[in-house]
Amino acid sequence: MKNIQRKTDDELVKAFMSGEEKCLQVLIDRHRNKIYSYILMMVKQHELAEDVFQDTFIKVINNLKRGKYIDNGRFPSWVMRIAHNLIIDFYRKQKNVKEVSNDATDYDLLNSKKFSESNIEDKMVYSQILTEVVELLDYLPDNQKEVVKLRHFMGLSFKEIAEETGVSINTALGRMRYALINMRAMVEEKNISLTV
Amino acid sequence: MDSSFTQDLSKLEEYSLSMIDFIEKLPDSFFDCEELTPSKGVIDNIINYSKKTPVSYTTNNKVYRYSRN
Repeated sequence: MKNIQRKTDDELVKAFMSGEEKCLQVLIDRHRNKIYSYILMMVKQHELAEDVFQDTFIKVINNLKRGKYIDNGRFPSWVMRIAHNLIIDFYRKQKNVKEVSNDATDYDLLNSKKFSESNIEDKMVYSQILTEVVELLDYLPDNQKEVVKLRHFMGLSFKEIAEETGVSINTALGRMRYALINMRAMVEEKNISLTV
Repeated sequence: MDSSFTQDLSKLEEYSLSMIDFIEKLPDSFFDCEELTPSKGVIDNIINYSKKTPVSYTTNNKVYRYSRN
């Protein structure tokens, strides 16, 4: 019998739908960080993100137990779509979509007017740029990589980053500065264009 | 005519969907970070909910956090 950890997502989903409850834990362990990161990027608050994460999986469970799942090999994408619907519902109910803005930061993915008003082609280019930036992150030392992720992908303030990583604010700022210097050098070296 | 709110919501929807496409492309290792992990209590709530949920179940039920709500 195949080890549960080696099963594919679709095998785990089918087994879960057949009553093997333990498969849900494996699916969650496998994809929780990716799904939680998406939710956190959209709502910017850990408490709210955890609530949305929980509600998302409750819908996932309800759908699976009703046999509502299309086997397309993209379980995390399917779950993120469910999270997306909950997030949009949340903001619709809030009647104030501007709450998502994080104006306290000098740059934020969600505040990118250029991206929000861009056309499909621009979006594809923007997505490609983000992918290249993420690839650059891999070349950074771990402590610099962590600060960039927390600051620009998760929207944390430097005070929050300092608390999360157990360093002073100045150290966090210094790591970001060196990360940006290193990334600029890599952009020039690799001749990457960072404009849409 | 669409209100400003509706337009903003529409942009947010587009942005959200494009982020799903983007995040899908990232390797799992990118998210290997303690700060990007939901708390154990939330995971336990989900698992417990599933164990108590029969095959057919009505929606609109919400599991609240232990000791928080």
